[in-house]
Amino acid sequence: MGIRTSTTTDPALVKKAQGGDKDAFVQLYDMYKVRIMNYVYRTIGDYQVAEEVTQETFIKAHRHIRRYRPTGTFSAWLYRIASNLSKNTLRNLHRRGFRRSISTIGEGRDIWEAVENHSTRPDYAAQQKELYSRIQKALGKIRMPHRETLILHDIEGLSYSDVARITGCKEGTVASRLSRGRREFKKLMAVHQIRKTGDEQ
Amino acid sequence: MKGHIPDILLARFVDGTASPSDKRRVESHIKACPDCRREAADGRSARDLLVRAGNVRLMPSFDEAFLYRLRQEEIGREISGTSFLNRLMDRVSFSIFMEPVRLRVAAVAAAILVAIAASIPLLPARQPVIVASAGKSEIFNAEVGRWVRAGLDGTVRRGDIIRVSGSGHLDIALGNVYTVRIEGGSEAVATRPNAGWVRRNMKFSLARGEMLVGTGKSFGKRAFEVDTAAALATATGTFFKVSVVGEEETLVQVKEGTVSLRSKFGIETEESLVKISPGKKSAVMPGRLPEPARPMTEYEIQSLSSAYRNMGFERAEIETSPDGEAVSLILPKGPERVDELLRPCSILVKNAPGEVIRLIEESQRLANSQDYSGAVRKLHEVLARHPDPRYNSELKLYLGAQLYSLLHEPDKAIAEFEDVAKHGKKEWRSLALAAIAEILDRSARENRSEAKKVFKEIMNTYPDYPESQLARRRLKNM
Repeated sequence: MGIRTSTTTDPALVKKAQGGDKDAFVQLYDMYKVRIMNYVYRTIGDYQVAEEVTQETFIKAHRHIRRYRPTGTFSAWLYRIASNLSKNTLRNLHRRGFRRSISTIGEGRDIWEAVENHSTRPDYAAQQKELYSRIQKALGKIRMPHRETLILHDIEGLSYSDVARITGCKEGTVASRLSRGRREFKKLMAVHQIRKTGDEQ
Repeated sequence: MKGHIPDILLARFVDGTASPSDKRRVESHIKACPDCRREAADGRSARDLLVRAGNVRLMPSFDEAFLYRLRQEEIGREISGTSFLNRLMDRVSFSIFMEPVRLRVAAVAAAILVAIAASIPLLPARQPVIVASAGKSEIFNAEVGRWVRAGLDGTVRRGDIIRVSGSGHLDIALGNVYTVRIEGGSEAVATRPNAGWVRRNMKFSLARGEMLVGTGKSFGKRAFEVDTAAALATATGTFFKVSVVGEEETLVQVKEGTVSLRSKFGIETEESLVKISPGKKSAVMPGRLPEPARPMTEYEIQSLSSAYRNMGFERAEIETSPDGEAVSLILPKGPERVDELLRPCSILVKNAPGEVIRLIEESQRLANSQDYSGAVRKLHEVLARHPDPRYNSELKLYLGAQLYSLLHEPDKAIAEFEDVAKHGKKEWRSLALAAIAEILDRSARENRSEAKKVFKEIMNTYPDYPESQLARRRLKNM
């Protein structure tokens, strides 16, 4: 399920990491690595590139951790680094003549976390993973500003103000992007559904 | 509400964050407007789907790979020699493909580039070489993928890791651009050992130990950087020493010029940068701000100066024989060159006959494997079978130094030096005499008077040579 748990960062831990304590930084990394990887993967749509970008995010965070000021949350600061890196990476890949094959990524590879099985139905997990792939495919087709806002707010569970800070826009813009993004997403999921039922018939 | 619900309000309504009055307005509107009712329902269902999106699984190797990179980051940022983008490109080739049209354009562009490249002669990429070595040093050659013994004239390439053990040292020089000495007990990485075609800064990373940097007359306007876990020292043409001591504390001492020392952690403020002028030093602990620059002690200044003289910088340049010479001794210019000779110094063989080069190389190999008598035997062989006035004096000096330092045969060494002093090239005579005097002075007490005589002879016969300065100083102390 989407990560809605809000991890509260111990400010003392961040302070320790700022003082050069490597163990403290590794603890922070452990706390946020899955969330950042989730965000980056959903933004970029390629698992291997997302791995690189996520690691680079933490390397950058380590290098510049003393620039972090506790005016915003630590996670928002991390997301902001990840957001800039993801966008730069996509831009660089495009510039070098590469075209993302976003819609085919994830197919045939088990990249999803095992689903907690609350159901007695044996095919529950498989169905869930199928749903996750569909969501990812639909997200990949949404325009970047809308996609990013949906991922940060609806999937990662960040507040309007955090999303605004990360994406560098106003809260009103976040709200309108959310509405438009959800509309696009709903349409794409419906198209997928129609195609699927058509195939089955 | 006129028209439909604006997007801003719709999102807040769906998320339940609209103000009570907005909420009432929207609720009354959607009762009457089926379009907006559907919009709100769609928004809610889209959000509910997204909330249920699963988590991506991290591969088991993810942590290991990250921690490795973090370690590399701490040692020196560009150890692997590959940038983030290059690393990325290596990986995306599997999952991302080129568009056919772009591929064709790229192929044509590549063909044109190859044609242009073929029509101009390729410039040789200049690599720094090892110019002096004492003790055991190893280089991890990134191309071969293993540790190799660092030998004289060996080249140092980008990304090579250099390890100098015990009390030795290793001097690496890029022509007249710079010379660095990596002291015993140190580990360094040649992050960017030459400026390349784009004239970027040169950079070494120091993991532990000490490193002395001296720049030469061809250094130009670039900067020389030394990177440690705690700080980055940047200098534009100067003489400075960087040490990593204790718990990764970085200490920088400056002999000449100005060095900027920047703490690596935290924001770049005025406080995170310290400019160190000549005769001063500063230190940084990881995660702290650099100490303000303060004067070095008299002892530190003395030992830094002597280290540079020892490295071959009288002020700046290393003196080597002119290019036409067959055999050159790598010695500093000043009066201390006799110390370097007796260490023993390094030798460079260029235009000698093949057999001579082979024998000298064999001799060096034997010396490296600590078969010193074998090494000396080979040098004798060269002198006996291929005597040549072009290199006899240099070889004899080199042989004498080996006899003295490696085989501990002062008498035989003195015999070789005497030969040079009497019959050798004029420019080496004073040095040969100084070597004799030094050996005598360092040996038994009863030889001191002999040493005194030789020093006096140097002062009288070779007043214009650097050894006369040494002789004057020694006689004063005797």
